[in-house]
Amino acid sequence: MLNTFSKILLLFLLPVQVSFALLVPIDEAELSSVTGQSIIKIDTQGSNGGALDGSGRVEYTKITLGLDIETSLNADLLELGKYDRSGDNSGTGADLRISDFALGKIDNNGNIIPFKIKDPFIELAYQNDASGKKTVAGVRFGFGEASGALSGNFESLTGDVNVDILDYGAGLSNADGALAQFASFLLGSNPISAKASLVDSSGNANQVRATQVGIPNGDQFNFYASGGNSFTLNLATIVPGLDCVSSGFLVCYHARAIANNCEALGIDVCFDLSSYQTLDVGTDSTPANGLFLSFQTKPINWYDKDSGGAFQATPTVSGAFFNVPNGGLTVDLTQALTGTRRVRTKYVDPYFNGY
Amino acid sequence: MKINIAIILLSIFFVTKIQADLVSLDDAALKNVDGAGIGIVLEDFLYNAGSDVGEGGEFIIGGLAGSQYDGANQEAKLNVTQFYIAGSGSENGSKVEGRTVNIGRLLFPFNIELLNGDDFGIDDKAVLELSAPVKNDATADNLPKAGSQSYFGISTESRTERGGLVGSTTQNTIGSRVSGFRSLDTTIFNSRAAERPDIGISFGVSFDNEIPVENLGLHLESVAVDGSYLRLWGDSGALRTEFSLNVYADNVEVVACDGTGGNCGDSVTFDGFSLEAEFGAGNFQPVTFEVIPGTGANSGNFIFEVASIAGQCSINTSRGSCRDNTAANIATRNKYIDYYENGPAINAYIENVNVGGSDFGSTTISNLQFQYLKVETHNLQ
Repeated sequence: MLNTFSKILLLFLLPVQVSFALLVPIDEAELSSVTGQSIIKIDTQGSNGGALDGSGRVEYTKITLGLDIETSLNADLLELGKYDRSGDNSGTGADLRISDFALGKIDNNGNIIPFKIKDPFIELAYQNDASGKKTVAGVRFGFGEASGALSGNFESLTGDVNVDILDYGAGLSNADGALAQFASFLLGSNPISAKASLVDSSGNANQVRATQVGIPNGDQFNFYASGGNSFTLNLATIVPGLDCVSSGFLVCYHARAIANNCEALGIDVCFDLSSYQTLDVGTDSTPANGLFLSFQTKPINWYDKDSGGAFQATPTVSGAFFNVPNGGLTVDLTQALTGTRRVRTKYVDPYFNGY
Repeated sequence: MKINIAIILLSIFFVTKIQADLVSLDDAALKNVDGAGIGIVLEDFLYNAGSDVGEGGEFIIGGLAGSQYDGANQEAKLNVTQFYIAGSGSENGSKVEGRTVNIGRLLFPFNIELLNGDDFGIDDKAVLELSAPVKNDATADNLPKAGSQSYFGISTESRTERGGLVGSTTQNTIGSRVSGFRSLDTTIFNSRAAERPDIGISFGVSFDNEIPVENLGLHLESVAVDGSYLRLWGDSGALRTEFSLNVYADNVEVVACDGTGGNCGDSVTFDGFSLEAEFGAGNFQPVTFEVIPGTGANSGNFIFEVASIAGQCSINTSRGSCRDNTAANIATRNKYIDYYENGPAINAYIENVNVGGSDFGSTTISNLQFQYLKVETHNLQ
């Protein structure tokens, strides 16, 4: 029997006998078909040719990788920015804490439905002082495009999570309260839209270590007439708190209910983040653009191009910051009011009683 | 003293920077050498390279896509001004001369070995392993041990979330998960101060052959990679791998300067950086590398894939889980349970993130497992 060392010697010796190959020049025709891939792109932005930041002294260098990524992953814990902020109890808070984090899902046939990412990037932001000294003011990790199921217990979130609520009036039947039930009866076929984001327990917009998502104070539930139901929408404005803002003779085309102190039409419109166990980010046909995670020393703007090629700014706060872009998440009223159930992310899944 | 093979020490000389010295093994050390494969130790190692335009030398990574200030596409180039591997105290590469470092040691060398695949879930296959020094077993005699000791001491918590919707009375969530890292075990390092190099690279970013517009530097201080390995084997006509990448560094720093390399301000630093990343689990979940052949639109794309674990148990199609109603089903289901509890995972911890002089505390990623990962490159223009 050969011992291991002998096997290794043989491994190295064997190729020697077949390695006397002559180097043969490649002719022009072959060379012309050889192309390299440019999978790295470096873009600079900033003050030197058109200031993007109000101070005019922030510059950006973005390194993008040309990658298409499909994945299904699970993690026990994702925690960033665990430090003491003013107003928090010492040693207790983190800017971002998600337990049982997962990307992608498993369908009922046992197929993995991956989370898709295109063109991930890392970007540095510099603050230039008057003498030209460059100080790093922020760093962010993001995706050119992203789509798929994002699951987890969102225990604390600093950032911007914009949720589009799109449904019909009938969805109000899931809410508690006589007013909501009455409105649901009248507005069953009327489209509803609203935008939810991170708030505190009083409904004030709050991007720092938020534990609730809801319709911020002053924002509105919109009810629209479609088809011939402008009459019923007009009728529904007898419900206290529902005002018509675009009307005709005995008809209403657009009514609204203003959120205040986490209530609208008598129903709660603020919910624990942990109620949303799975979020569908973008879609296959319309992936979300602008999903990122960043650290910055002060509130600065990060810039991404919209579908028209124009730069759109995302303002941030200091610390860790998680951004889910506009249009990135869409839920119906049932999901908004009762939460979203966690999808299967493991073949033996603790959230499905171990099955 | 039973020694099958003496370890072959390969002293690799890089120009005039290497000063290698063979050191005799004493009996106490030799008795612990169970010879197998090839061990590599580089003593008094120092590598320091960069562009020296005056002498006609340039180190350029070109052909990159790029743009400035949302202008037209331009070719971007990275002009590497310095790449170094040196002893500790190099101060981001500014003091490398004379600062040598030992890469491995005789008891803890870098290894090339042939292993029995049966030990790794790769049945009836010989496995070629390239590995960094194994970790210490701090509980015994500080000698190399098999198995994987972790740097991380973990704390756990029971899951209390409901699996169903808000208001559901059904509590169908079970088990526990990692809730954080409570301690860090530095004694696992074989790479003591003299064996933990500083590694760094600095490069200028330029566009269309103009002078660099800025200089970026990435510096890792006091690096250890103990416990890392790459295993290779062949199956079904393809090369398969599994690997572990462990990186421990006292400090990882990203520095930005102006185009001349001056005017460097505060940087981004990751203090106490530690990463233990495992990919692949034998033939249950092999890792593969592939380049798409042919002349199609995707030809030449590079693909890195951690195989999907789907399809290795009988599925209960009413819920997508592994069935467990027969002994055979229970056996395959148990493979998944073992995978989730003991399979390849990524753990990372940074004691403190400092951006531009401001501290943002610790960062933790715990027990991250890829059930499937496919990364395919494409052209950026």
